[in-house]
Order: sequence, then C-alpha cells, then structure tokens
Amino acid sequence: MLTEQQITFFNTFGFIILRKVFSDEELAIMDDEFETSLKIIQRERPDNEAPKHFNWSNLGPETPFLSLLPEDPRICETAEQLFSEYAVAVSSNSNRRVGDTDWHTDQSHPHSYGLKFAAYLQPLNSDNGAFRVIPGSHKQPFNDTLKHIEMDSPEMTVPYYSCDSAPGDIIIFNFATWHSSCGGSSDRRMCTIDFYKNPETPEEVEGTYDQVIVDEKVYAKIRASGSAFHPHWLANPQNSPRRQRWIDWLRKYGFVKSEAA
Amino acid sequence: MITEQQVYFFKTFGYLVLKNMLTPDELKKIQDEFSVGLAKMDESKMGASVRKQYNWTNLGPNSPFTASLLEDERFYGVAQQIYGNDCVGVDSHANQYNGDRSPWHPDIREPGPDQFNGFKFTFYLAPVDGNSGALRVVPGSHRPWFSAEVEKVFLKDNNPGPDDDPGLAVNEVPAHICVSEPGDAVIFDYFVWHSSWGGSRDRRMVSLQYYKNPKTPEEEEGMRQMVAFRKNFNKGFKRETKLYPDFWLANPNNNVVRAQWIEQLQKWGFIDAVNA
Repeated sequence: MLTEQQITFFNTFGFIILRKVFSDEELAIMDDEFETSLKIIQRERPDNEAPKHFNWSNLGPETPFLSLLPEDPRICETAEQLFSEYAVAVSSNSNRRVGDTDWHTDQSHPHSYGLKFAAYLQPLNSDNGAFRVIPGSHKQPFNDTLKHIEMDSPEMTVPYYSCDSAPGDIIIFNFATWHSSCGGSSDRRMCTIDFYKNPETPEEVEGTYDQVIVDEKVYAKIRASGSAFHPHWLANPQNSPRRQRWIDWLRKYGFVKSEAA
Repeated sequence: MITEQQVYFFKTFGYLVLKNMLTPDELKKIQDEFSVGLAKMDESKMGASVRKQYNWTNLGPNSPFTASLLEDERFYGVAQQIYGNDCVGVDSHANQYNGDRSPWHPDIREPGPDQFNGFKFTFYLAPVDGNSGALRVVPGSHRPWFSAEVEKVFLKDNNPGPDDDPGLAVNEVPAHICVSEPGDAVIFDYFVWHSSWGGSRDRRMVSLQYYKNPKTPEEEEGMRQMVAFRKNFNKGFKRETKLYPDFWLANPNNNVVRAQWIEQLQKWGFIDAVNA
C-alpha cells in the first residue's frame, strides 16, 4: 500500500518507483515464465521478424505467476488507491524491446485515464534504457504544450528524470506522463500490468471506448501472437469477485470480444 | 541570440542551458574580480541556512568587467527575446556556497507570474554535475498550478513531514540536472523550483538578472511587491555596501541602456529600497 506522501508524489509528478517489491524467488519465477513464453513466441515469430517492441499476454496457463499478478494486493490495491476501488486491470503483458523508445504518452483520449505498472527484469540506468519521464507532464496544459516541442531533436535535450531501477522494483506511471528510453539493448525485458479508471462522466465513457480502438491498433503492430485475454483467465476458475468485475467491465466496453468469451 | 525553439523551450520548461557563452579570458577576469569580492567576506555575512552562502553585488568598482556583462548584447539580447525590447537589467551578484546542498525552492512565490516576470543567468565558475552542486530544476514547475502541486510534497529541508515520513531529500525529488562547464550559462525563471546537491565548499557562481517591464496595472502592482520583497531579502545577508553602488549609478561611460535601466529602477523604487 502507498503512504499519503507517495500518493502525493504520484499525483504531482505522474509516476513513482517502488523499490524491492518482488523477492528474489518471485523474480526467478518471472524470469522463467518470461523466457518460456518468449521461446513459444519465437517459434512463431523468429527474432529477425520481431518488431522493436514485442508484446504478448501473460494471462495464459503457461505463465501462472504472471497471470495472477494483477490480483496481487501489492498491485491491485495500489491501483485502487490511485484510481479508486473501481480501477480495472486490462492487461498483464510481457514486453521485449529493442533500442530506444521515442518520447510519447500512452493516453489516446484526453478523458481516458490509465496507469501502468512496469517491472524491468534487468538493472537499468540512464545509459542502458532506463525509463525516462518528464515529471508532471501528465497534467494539462503542460501535457499538450509538449506536443509542440521537437521532443527527439538532436539539438536540444528534453529535460527528463531517469527512473533507474533494479529487478524487483516497480515503476508506476500515469498513461498521460511523457516517457521514453535511450540506450537500451536488443533484449530489454519488462512485465507490465495496465489499469484503467472506471469512467464516471460521458466524456470519460467516450474516452474509454476510444481507448479500445487505439489498443487494438497498437497491439496489431506489436502483439506477437494470441489475444490479450486467454480463455483460461476469462473462465475465472477460482471465482474471484474482483476478476469477475474486471471481466464484466472489459466485456461491457469491448476490450473482450464476444468470440473470446 | 537564441533560436525560437530555445525561447519556446525556456517558456515551456522554465530554464535553458547555453553552452560556451564566455571565453577563457573572460572567465579569468570574472574569477579575479570574484576573488577580490570574496576577500571582503567574513562569517558574519554568511546567510541562507544550509547553503552557507556569501552574496555580494558585482556592480561596484572592484568588478567592472562582471558588471559590464549585464549590458552585454549576448545576455541582454537574450533577455529582450524573452521579455521584449524594454526589459530591464536589474542586478548582478556574486555567490559563494559552502554548504552541501541548496534546498528546493522557487526564488519568488509572491507576486505570481501573472503579475511579475523575471529570470537570471547563472555562471558556475567550476564544472558542476549532479553530485557536485549543479543546478537542478523541476522542468515546467514555474507554472502556478505545478508549483502549487510541488508545495504539497514533503521536503526534508524546508517542508518536512511527520517524524515517521519526513519527506524527500534534495536528490530524491525527480529533477533535471543542469550539468555545466565554466563559460556555460544556465538561465532559469524565478518561479521554477530549483536546488543543488553535493556541492563542495567554495562553489562559485555569478548571476545576471532581468525583469520584464510591467505593462498592466496588475504587473505594476507586482513590481511594487517586488520592491518590498527585495528589500527584505537584502536583510538576510547583512550587507555593508549598497546593492546599487554609486559607481554603477554614475554610469561613467554614459551607456544609454544602463541610463534607461537606472531610470526604471528609480521609478519603481528599487534603488532607494535596497540601498537604504
């Protein structure tokens, strides 16, 4: 759980780093599951066909630990502190990235609100691909102003804060926070869990529907294979009330298509 | 002169680093003049708490070269690009820091940026980085809404929280570090949150300061508030000399720009207030 000051930090700067969330044993499991699922993917998409950002869902039976992470209290209760008790987990993914990531936000609509938990599986600093943020850039009008800056100009360095991290740390960031990375290797590994805020206004409802469309387009480019929601996860074999609430929400807004039910 | 992109950068992020603005010969003159000024300091004049700072004006007869930089087109020209052709050069200070950090702060809270605008050039006379006292900024925090958010964050030095959660140390606030070499200029808006971390004893910096000329009744009121602010700020350093020495006010070279500035400073009341 976050302290009041950590919540203030997140709301002020648009991100926060939680240190040593996962134990060494848990990290070993995460590494194994990542490697196992990557090998499955690589049989279908060899590396020379893989995009710079390679992404697949962790909600299948071959990644049992990662598939349960969204419901881990360290994750979902933190999301609920930041986004209210109706925060919804919409993905648990593994990502393999190559090289640099240009400056961008993950927010597709001004009234669509999400946050991402990112756990990098290698030590990272500002020279080898650590997550970079512009603190406070999730807020308007700052967020919009940055669209007019040549963010990736070689002549002018955009000011950033480097979220140096070690395996076991989690970086949580607001979708609207501008972020990037630089100097990453050809095999930068991370696990992510996304939460969306339950929309409360007509604008937010519109924003959520818009996010569905954007997510589909993004995943079409980066998704290695398979759908975001494995039938095994959707079956909810443990009858988790929280998971069922999420599934119902995901169906309502179209994140889960009827054919995947 | 700076590019339009650089002006936009400064207005967006509240700071800008300009490389190699001073030559080695110029730096030597500034260092020599700095040493003369520093020799007049003693512990009774040290201020600013953990910064352990000495501060004195460069507008006196012992620092003619440093004083002339205020009117130098390289710097005044940039100020004009940012604040208009009628902006005013108001000050040049020398600072020696002996503490290991400067706590987070904006230089001004009131009047707000809707009433007043000013910035300073800072020239660090030795190389500085994130562990040796380089200026750190929270980019964009000169904006009132962002500044108000930062005010809520507990900071160990100057806005501590409860004993069990005292807040962030200087180096724990997410910031951009303005690494600089001698000759570089780090410009920052008075309202941007800034600090430093890891500085050693005898960290030397000189500044040039410019104000936007007030145009509206609100800005004129803001300038009146600034006069009071500077008068009170001046008291913290136990100065023995005037901040606007007669040497500078006499304008011996009949510099037209300086004459205009002196007229403005007199009109606003700065000279009487800070020289009292």
